[in-house]
This record gives sequence, C-alpha cells and structure tokens, in this order.
Amino acid sequence: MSKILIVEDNELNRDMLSRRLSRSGYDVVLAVQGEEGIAMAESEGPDLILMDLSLPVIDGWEATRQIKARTSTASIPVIALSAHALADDEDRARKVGCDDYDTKPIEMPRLLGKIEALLRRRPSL
Amino acid sequence: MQTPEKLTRTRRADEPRSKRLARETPPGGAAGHTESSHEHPHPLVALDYRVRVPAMLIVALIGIAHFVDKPQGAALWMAIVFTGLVWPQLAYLIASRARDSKRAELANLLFDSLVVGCWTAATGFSVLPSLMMTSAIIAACLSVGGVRFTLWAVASLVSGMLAVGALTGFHVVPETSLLTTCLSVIGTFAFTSIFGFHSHIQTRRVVKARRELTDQHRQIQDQYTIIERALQSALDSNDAVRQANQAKSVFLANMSHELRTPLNAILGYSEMLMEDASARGDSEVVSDLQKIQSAGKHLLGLINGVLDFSKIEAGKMKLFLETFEVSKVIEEAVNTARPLVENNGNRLEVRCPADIGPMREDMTKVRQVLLNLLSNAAKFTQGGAVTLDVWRENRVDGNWVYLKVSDTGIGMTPEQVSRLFQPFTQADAATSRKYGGTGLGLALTQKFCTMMGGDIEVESAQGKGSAFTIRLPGEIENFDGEASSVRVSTLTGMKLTDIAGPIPLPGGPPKVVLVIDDDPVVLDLMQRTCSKAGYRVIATRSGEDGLRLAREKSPDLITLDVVMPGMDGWAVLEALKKDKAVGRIPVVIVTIADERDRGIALGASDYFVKPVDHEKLMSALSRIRRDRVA
Repeated sequence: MSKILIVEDNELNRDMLSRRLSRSGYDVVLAVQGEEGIAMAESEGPDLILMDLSLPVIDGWEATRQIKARTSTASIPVIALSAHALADDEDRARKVGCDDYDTKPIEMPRLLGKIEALLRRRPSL
Repeated sequence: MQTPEKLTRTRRADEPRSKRLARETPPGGAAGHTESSHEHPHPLVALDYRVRVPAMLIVALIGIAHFVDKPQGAALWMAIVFTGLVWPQLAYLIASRARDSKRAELANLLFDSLVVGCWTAATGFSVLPSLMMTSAIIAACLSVGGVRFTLWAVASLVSGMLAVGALTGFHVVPETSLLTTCLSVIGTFAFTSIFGFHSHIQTRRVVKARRELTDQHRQIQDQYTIIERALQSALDSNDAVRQANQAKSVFLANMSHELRTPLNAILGYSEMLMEDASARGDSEVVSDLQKIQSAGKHLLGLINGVLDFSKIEAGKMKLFLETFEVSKVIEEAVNTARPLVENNGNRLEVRCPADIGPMREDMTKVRQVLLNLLSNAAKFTQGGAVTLDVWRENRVDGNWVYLKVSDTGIGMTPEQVSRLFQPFTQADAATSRKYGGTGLGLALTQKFCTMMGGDIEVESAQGKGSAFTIRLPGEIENFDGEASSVRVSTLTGMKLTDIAGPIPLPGGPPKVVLVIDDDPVVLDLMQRTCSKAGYRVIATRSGEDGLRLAREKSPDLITLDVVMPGMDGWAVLEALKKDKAVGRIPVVIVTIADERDRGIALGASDYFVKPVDHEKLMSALSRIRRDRVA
C-alpha cells in the first residue's frame, strides 16, 4: 500500500482528502504546517506528497523546495494543490520542483490519475 | 534727430507695440511711400524721420539766413533744398526699403553728421549755429548708436567740416546775423524739447512694458501653479486608481481562494456521501446529493468565470499557442456538447470539411469558446436543430478559420442582442431564471476571441433562432515557434507581444528575498510581485521567525514590516544589524508607519510607506542588490 503525505492547513480539506484517499486504498499521513511536512517527509518516507501551496509561516513552495533540496527526500514526488488557480502559482510550483499540480476544488478521478501516474513512474523499492 | 536706444531693447518684450508704432507712422506723402516687401522697418527709422524733417529744415534755414545777403550760386541753393526737403524723405525711403533697416538708418545718421559738418563749415563756424547743430547730432548719435558709433559720427562730422572748409578756405565768421541767432535759438529749443519729449515717452513705455512684463510673469506663474496642481491631482488620482485596481485584483484572487477552499469541502464530502449512498442503493439521497453537487459545480463555474474576467482585465490571461488539427478540436467539443444538445430533443449537425487542416492557436481556448456556443445553443433550443459549420477562408487580411453555431431556438430581439456580450446580463432576468447559466459565458467567449486575434458576430431573430460566427486567424503571426514560450495578449491592443515569462535578474541563480509582514494579504502580494521580478521568496508573518529565517537562509534581501504583534520591525531591524552574520543583508522597510528617518538611522537601506508602488519597490530592490554586488 502506497503511503501519501498530505500537507494541508485547512482542517476540513485535510480530513476530506485523507478519508477519500484512504477509501481509494492509500495509507495517509497528515501534516498541518510546512515545517511539519518537511519533517514528516523525512521521518515517514511517504511514496508521494500532496502539498497545499498556501500554508502559513513556511508556504508550500518553500516546503517543496526544502524537500527537494534534501537528498533523503528529493526523490519523493510532490503534487502541489492550490485554490488560487492562477497560472503564476503553477509556474512557481513547477519551478521549486513540484512534479505535478492540481487546483482545488479537487476532482477525485483527476487527482487519482495524477497520483497513480507519478507512483507508476517511481521505481518500486 | 534722436531715438533712445532703449526702445530697441524693449522691442522684443513689447513686440505688438513697436510694430504698431511702425505701422502708424506715415512716411509723409512726398516720399511716395510704398509698402516694403520686407518686414516692418525698424522703429528707429520712423522716429528718426520725425526728428530729421524739422531738424534738417532748420539747418537749411540757417544756411539761407547765412547766405541771404551774400553772393550765391545755383549749387548752394540745390544743396539747401537737398538738405531741407529732399534728404529727410530720401533717408526714410532708403532705410525703410533696406534689408537691414536699422543698419541703413545708422548709415543715414552718419550722413546726417556729414551734412551737419558741411553746413557748420559753410556757415563759417558761427558759434551758436555750430553749437546747436553739432551738439544735436552728437546727442542723437549717442542716444541711438552708443559711444563707438558716435566716434564714427564725429569723424563724419569733421570730414564734412574739412571738405567744405577746404573749399571756403576755412573762412570763419565770428558774428552772426540776428536771423541766424534766432534760428539757432529756435533750433536748440526745438531739439531739446523733442529730445526731452521722446525721452519722456520712451521712459514711460519702458516702465509700462516692465509693468506688463511683471504682470505677465505673475500670470504665467499663476498658470504654472494651476497646471502643477492639476498635474499633481491627476497623478494622485492615477495613483489612487492604480492602487484601487491592485486592491481589486488582490481581492479577487483572495476571494477566489477563500471561496474555493470551503467549496472543496462541500464538493468533496457530498461526493463521498454519494459514493456511500449509491453503495447502499439509497437513490433518493443520491439524487439530493447530486443537486448539492451540481449547485456546487455551478458556483465553481461562477468563481472561475469571475477569475477569468479579472485575469483578462488585469492583462494576465495568457495564450498558450500550439499547432493542432481543427477537426480534432471540433470533434472533442462536439462529443462533449452532444449530450447537452440531445437532452433538449435537438439534432446536432456538424458540417466540417475533412481537409480543413491545422491551425495555430490556444487550443484550450478555441475548445472553450466552441463549447460555450454549443451549450448556449443547446440551452435555448427545444426540439430543433443545432448546426455547427466550420470553414476556412483565404482573404487579403490573412487566413481565417470560421466556426458558426446556429440554432432554431428562441432567438433574441435586437435590444437583447445589444446587451449580449456584457458580463452578468443574459437576454433578460426571466431568461436567466428559466434557463439558468452564469451570464458570463458569452462575455468570456467574446473576450477570448478578441485575445486570440479574432472576433465574434451574432445574427438573431426572435422566435426563429440565433447564429454565432467566430472568426479566428489560422495562424497567429510573429510567433517564434518555441513550445515553451508563452504569448501574452493584453486586451487593450490586438497586437500580440512576447513576454518572456518572469523578467530574469541579471546573472546567477534567483536571488532570495525574505518578506516579513504579519498581514497575509501583503505577504501574498509581495510574494507575487517578487517572484514575478525573478526573486525566490521566503515569507513569514512574525518578527521572531523572520530573524531566525534570516540567520538560517541568509537571504539576499529582506523586506520588513514595522507594526507586527510580538517582536516589532524596529526590534527585528536592530537585532539583524547587530548580528555580524546577517548585518550586511540589505533591509527594506515596508510599513504604514511614516518614520523614514528612524528606519534609515537603524540601518535600513530603503523605506517604503504602504500602500506601496510595487514597481518602485522592485526597482529599489534590484538597485540595492546591484549596489551590493558592485
């Protein structure tokens, strides 16, 4: 079972997303803030990270940059999630190393497609 | 025979007056004045003429008085007539016709001196007449031509004396007749009076001109002040408009974000419940949940539409150009729209030539506008036909692809057509209630078409149906073909201009800016502006955190708010500047507190008071960075 780390500060969205991913058969771990996300990427070693971009203190872009900068976590695929839906957000997300990008509200089939595509690409350990 | 030099000095400041003076002064009938082909003669010419006529007459009369009881020849009488009557007219004629009338008039004055010299010698250097004539000519020359010119005049005067003196053997007549004495006295009196009178007039003119000049100067200054104030207020209001517009963009971006976040939960949870309900086979709940879903999706459509609008209006909507087969996009759009069309019992007909070929455009937007038109037609047509015609035309103004969607639906009145492309206005409120829709579709469709270099036309008849025709260029010109580059069109002009994404900073990897501000809106805005300018941004909402991040990340620049809960900006700035490791990082204060001096004293590199002109801020950042590199 693949493990997905969700970094999301909004409680409702975190809960909803985690439950829906659990139903789809993923093992889900949760982080609320950017720092926590970076730490858990290291400690939990997830197969994929769903990163909300607008996080307080350390935002999603910065958190992703740090995750991609550490050798231990650099290979974990990151999908950026944003409610802003502005092209700028996506450009910036791709620049800091996000592997894919999706906008909120989340369309589950679309997001699952992106997750599966990235997991397939990753060599299984 | 004088004209104060001052007149020529005031001439420019008082141009109309001097011109009028020249025009008003008739040359006297005898000379047969004809209008000069050159510009108005110098005012000196007219003034001298008025003095020369009586003065030369007196010289001639003195000559007559002197020679009346002596033997005379015809030559003498001719000389007298020439001096008294002919010369003043001749002098005027010469000067007023000359290309350089002032120069000619000065030459005339030299000739005057010569004439006076001759007559002084001819009348035997009698004391009174000589005194009168020479002092008058010297005074006149001094007044008009200055000292140097007067020296020439004296030379001319002496030449006359010598020439005639040589003829008469320097015959000196010490005593004068009563008549000559009288004439000399009258001449002196007349000359002094005229001289004095003209001096008076000139002085008055100068004073008046100066007063007028002062008035004009004051008026000009007043006008300048008014203009400056108007300019300032225009700049102020321009600033205010820009700030308001910026605030609007930020507001819309935030609103979109704030609305999407709860909507995400609504749509997500209702979908989960729907999965559960259909697993249980509870169809009633499923249908209710479907209603929540569709309402949520409608709301999302509205938010997206509004966001698209604000992006278009802010000039942020981008075109992603690619070459694609027209038939492919048609097929995709038709497949998506077919269920919608057929739901209302309509037939969908597509007429597209198989060899329509490729086009170079923003494929997503072409598909979107086509879908908008098809779903629009489907919505307003019941049990009729929706037809899509596609064709290509080669015209003088380029190669165009036409997409025409016609329906046999309810149609529109001309009045409704006129409001058709305005956002949030459907044909009327009742239509909106009956047929639903956001009222944004057609307005966006039109904006997209314009962006892509095309246009949209509508024909409609109430009760008979409508036809929308989109015309798009087959290929957008001047595109360099780079798949990664992006064409940006601002809607203000149809011309497409290249914008190479974020403006890169010169040299090296992106520079890091640490933004410290407790206001999330400001943080967001700063993040956008900075990253657009090519910076990488670290943002934090607290002073303590900012200090820590500065030490950890050693950014290239720091922007710092002052008024923050906990550790305020002053404390952060002091701590930063005290710390050797980070003390050299330039800090720019961005705050509402207007305490520039304090900020600079504490070591800030620059100081901006909110609301900030981001362009100025960005140029300050790049300047500071350059300075530092240098």
